[in-house]
Amino acid sequence: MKTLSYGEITDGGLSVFQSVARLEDDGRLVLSFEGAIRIDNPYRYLSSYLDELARVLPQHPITSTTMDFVKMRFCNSNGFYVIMDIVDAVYNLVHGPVLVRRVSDDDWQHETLPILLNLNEEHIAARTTFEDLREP
Amino acid sequence: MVELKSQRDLDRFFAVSPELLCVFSTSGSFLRWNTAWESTLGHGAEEMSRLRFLDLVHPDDAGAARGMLERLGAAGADPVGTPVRIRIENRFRTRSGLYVRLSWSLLSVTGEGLVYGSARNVDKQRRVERALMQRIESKMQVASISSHFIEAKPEELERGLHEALARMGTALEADRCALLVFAEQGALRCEARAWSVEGVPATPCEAAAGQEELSWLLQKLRAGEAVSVMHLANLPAEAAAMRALLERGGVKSILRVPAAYAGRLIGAVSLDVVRQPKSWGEAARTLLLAIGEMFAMTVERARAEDALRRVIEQQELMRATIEQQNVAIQTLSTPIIQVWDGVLALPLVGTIDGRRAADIMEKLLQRIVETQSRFAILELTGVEDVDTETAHHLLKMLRSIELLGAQGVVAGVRPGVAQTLSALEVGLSPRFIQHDLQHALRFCMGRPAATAGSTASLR
Repeated sequence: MKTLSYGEITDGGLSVFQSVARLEDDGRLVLSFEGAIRIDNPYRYLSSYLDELARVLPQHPITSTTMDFVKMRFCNSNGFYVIMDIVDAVYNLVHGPVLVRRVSDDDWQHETLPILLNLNEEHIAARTTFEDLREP
Repeated sequence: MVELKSQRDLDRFFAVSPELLCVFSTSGSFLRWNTAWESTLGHGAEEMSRLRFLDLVHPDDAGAARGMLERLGAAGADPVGTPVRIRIENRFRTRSGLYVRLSWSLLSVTGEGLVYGSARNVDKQRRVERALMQRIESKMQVASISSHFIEAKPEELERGLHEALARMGTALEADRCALLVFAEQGALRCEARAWSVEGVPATPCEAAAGQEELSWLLQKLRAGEAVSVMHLANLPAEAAAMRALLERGGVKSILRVPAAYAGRLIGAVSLDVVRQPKSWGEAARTLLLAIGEMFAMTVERARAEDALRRVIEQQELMRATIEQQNVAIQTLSTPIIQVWDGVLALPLVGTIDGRRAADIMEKLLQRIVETQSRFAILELTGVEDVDTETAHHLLKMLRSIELLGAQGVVAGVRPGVAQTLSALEVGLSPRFIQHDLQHALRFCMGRPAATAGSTASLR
């Protein structure tokens, strides 16, 4: 397993959101999202993470992707743009199926994630499956 | 020089713009474009020189784009007309094959045959708008449906639930919409509140189901999973009993979503179709999940209110019983018996405090008046001991009896009582203290009526 990139938002000195891109030994990319995005300008903290993702993703022979939102509790509309940048980077730069893990009874994840993932696009919908899990 | 500087400035703006700038012929061939095309869509210079405008437009948007190009082309071919400016939004294909939504501003100058275009990538903005609008709409829908029952009074709750189910069933084009409430009382049972379209039985299949038929569904719901099946044949083998149940009920497609509140599953919200198979999307599932939580909260609240009401009723019942018992105890504590014509006997048992003494006195005096008795025997065999205060009460009672013209006789005085009475400054006349009830009776019956009350018993 290898960590490809790491992004973090801090608020008042505390870490409130983290996203990690890991490459598993079997060639699977795992992107995890943990915490909550409530701040007005998440790009202030995450732009270098996004740049790094765009740089490193094409360099690795990734066979499939797992995006794990199970530990992501909340995201405001500013955070939507960051999430879209990350998932768009995955769909544009990485081949193979994408598994999205989300909380089974979290309505924002069920309503909003499909839009942020752009599932209206047939290409994207065809590559994407969901796994609904109970909140940890 | 001015001309050259102007051209250089123009080139710099063209290069630095984050918006997609281009010039293309009215046939759609790109003649000039800036670097934003490559950074936004990934198309390099060589590719762009081969592509035409319509090659990049999403097939669903191609019709509108073609019409737009025709209008621009007509304006470009007309040497005397006015320039045409068009604003349009469409999806453009990226190099990876995905589409990005672009907002265009296009200008065709008359007689030139050229179109000047500036496009802004509004893909993310539109997705965010859609996401937020969907959130708002779904919250409003949840609020609207739940308003039927969330604050309903107990007597209006069933009607409110039915109206909410009808609203949901109609909105989601179901033939039947139900709230299933599971209970395990020895065996698993399902109670249902349901709405259905005309001609379809309102009772869902689960309401008549047994343990075996419900267990698979319950297992899924307990795991927090929804069950959405367009064709019953797609149900897994473990759900064979449930599938058979639904098939017997003529159901074609189902959606079952947990109804849970604060981690406690109470049942499920269910949608059925019996006419044509149907698939419900993510929005329906999310709506049912939110309403299911409201249902669960309301059912739990109703249960809590019902339990509270039962406790209050029990308390009321207990209070009434205690009051009845108090009356009985009071009656038993002052058993005034008319043992002979003109003779009352009052056997006293237990402790006699000030309150009880007052009660005894009130009842005894009233009875003396009612029966016009000449004697009242206070039988103290059952009183082990008295304190000074109680002794005073006894003396006061005897004095009151005399004031009514009757005679108080004390019988069965025990050693402890005798000690307390003897310590008092005001004592009892020995003539009116009898050994026991038998002697007291004999004493009363041996005295003529005229003498009763005529002799002072206290000294």
